[in-house]
Amino acid sequence: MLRLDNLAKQYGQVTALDGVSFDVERGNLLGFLGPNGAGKTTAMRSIFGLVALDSGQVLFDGHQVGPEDRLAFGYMPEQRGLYTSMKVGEQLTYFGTLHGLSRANATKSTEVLLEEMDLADRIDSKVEQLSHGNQQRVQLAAALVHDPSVLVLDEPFSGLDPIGVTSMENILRERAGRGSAVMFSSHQLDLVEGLCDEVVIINKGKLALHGSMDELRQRSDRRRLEVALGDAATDWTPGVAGVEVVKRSSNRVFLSVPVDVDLSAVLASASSAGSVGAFTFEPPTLSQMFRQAVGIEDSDAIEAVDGMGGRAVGHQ
Amino acid sequence: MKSSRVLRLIAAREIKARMRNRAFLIANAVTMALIVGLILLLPLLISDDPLLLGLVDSEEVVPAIETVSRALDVEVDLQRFNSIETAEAAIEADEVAGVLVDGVEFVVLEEPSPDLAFIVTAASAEIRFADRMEEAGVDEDQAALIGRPDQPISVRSLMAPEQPDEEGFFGGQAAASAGVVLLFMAINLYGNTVLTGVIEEKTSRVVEVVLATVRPWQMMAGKLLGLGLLGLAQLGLLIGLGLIAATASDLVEVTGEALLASGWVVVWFILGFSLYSTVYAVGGAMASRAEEAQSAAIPIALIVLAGYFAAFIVVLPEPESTLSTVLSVLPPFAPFAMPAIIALGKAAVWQIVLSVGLTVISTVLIVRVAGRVYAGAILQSGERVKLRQALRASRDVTGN
Repeated sequence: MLRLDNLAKQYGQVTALDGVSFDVERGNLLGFLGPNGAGKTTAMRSIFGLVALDSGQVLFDGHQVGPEDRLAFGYMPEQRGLYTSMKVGEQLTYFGTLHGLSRANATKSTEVLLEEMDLADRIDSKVEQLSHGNQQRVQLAAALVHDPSVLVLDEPFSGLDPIGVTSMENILRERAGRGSAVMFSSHQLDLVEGLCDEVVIINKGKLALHGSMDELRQRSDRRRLEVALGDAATDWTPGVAGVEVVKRSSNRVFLSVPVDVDLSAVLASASSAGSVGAFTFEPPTLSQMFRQAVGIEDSDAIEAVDGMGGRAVGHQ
Repeated sequence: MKSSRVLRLIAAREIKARMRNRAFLIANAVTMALIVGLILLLPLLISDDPLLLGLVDSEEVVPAIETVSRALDVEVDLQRFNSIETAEAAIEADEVAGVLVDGVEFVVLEEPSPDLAFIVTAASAEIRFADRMEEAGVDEDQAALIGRPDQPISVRSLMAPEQPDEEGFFGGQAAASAGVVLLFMAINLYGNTVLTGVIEEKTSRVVEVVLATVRPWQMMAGKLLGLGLLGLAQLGLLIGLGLIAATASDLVEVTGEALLASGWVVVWFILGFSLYSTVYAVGGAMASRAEEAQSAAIPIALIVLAGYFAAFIVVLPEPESTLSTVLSVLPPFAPFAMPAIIALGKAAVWQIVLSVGLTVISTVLIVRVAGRVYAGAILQSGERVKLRQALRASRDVTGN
């Protein structure tokens, strides 16, 4: 089990991490979320000793992580990087040996991995000769070649086409299934919601939300309410305490409501405004929980957050 | 994993990457060819080929020419022609350098070569002297008495003559200069290879992938080890080829001293490369883009150049001067000054010990600082990193 224990890091005036703690269990797939600049990359880099923490520590199976442990860790940094003029196969074998594999095992593991990733025919191509998508796959392979027990990926989905996204999802799921502790950061909340067992949201260096997806849904004090109201949708106001209008379409109203809302009062208000075609009460989406956790309420900000998905913006 | 294995893996990758790089191979092959070619060509440039002299009706001059050329220690090949026409054709065809006609006329294409003109004039003068003596009725014995001094001129030197080439090419200035040039080329070339290699790793961002499992000092040391070994192999090959070419061209005899001086050049490459290459690595780590390679290299290249020129301007002409002695033990200059003094055979044992000692100590100190700066700078992206920033940032990297 990987434990991030009370991590704190200050860069001059900027607080990157301010007491963040959470665990990543073996066999679990953990989504690591937060707005840009929240401290995700700093936290992930600290696992690999690339950041000297002001306080706190990273533990693996109860002891502080050291170079020997990191041999069994795999890392895909946010800013991708490979030796561009090196051949794909040689490069993966090299990274395998740097992680402690014997030459023979590294070569074998490289062949198996490239076969799995449908890149077997590119084993002798130089990295610079590959398409962008294939370079991304080789980058992932470099993090996987030594069959890591801990896998950390910074924005693995950024820049991938839909096919690439599916294949990345499958690989992450499969690795967790084989017993690795997998964590990755992402801005694509829908994707995280469908994929992850567990979610951590940090904001301004602090833990904002942490739990399994089910737990978070249950724990959330808000619910989604969608009302189909025909023409009346454009100007109906529920007039019930705690109920907020999130969005309107031409015939629907989307509401955020407290978990203990008086639904019959809302339904009565809607019925009096027009004819109710549908009335759907649901747990919040990850996206809603995220907004709430990082304190974004108005719809402008919602769009801003939604728009972040897939864009690679610098973190410290 | 043991550091020694990590260093070996990184070094092996560096060597393999260079051996696959066509530009690198071509540049090195050209350098080697140039140096070997130069050594093979040198004897031709300072050749002592026989002078080619043609003769038309000048048979009586032949004994005199042989006497004079023997005295001058110059070999003269004589060729007889039946007519002036054929002789002139031979001059134009460059078969002979000049033709003596009737013992009095010397025909050349443009200007006579000084050696040949002197031999011909002296020989011809002697013949004419003998003729005139005969005309005057002086017999041969009397003529000999008048015409030749009974005592050869005795030579007295005010200064002991220098011992040229007797102790071999490698004992002299030429060897010392060659050694300094080789060291400069090797340190400069491989220092720059280190610098561009580090910039490549930084700008391609592969450094973060590597540093996730390798410590920064290991990454730097592995690279320096690999490129240092490559440089050493190339230097060894160059010296070996040089010695073989020199022997083959009969330029010099390869003596034990030559081998010892070559050995010292190799030792000083190891010391000099260790001293400078860490600085080159740091220069590369502080740059942010490939285009900055030049400007990052300049301050370091200036120090290397200063050592190189100091060796040529100060040390080679006066290896025993106080300034030369100081330069030979001062670390930034020692890698060029000391091997020059050793090659000139003017090095004291204490001087070598002090020089090597100070170079090693300063290398250790520089490596410590360089390791920190490298670790601090290599992960900083964005604009060019300043030294102070890098040192400060080194506290942000754990280094383990």
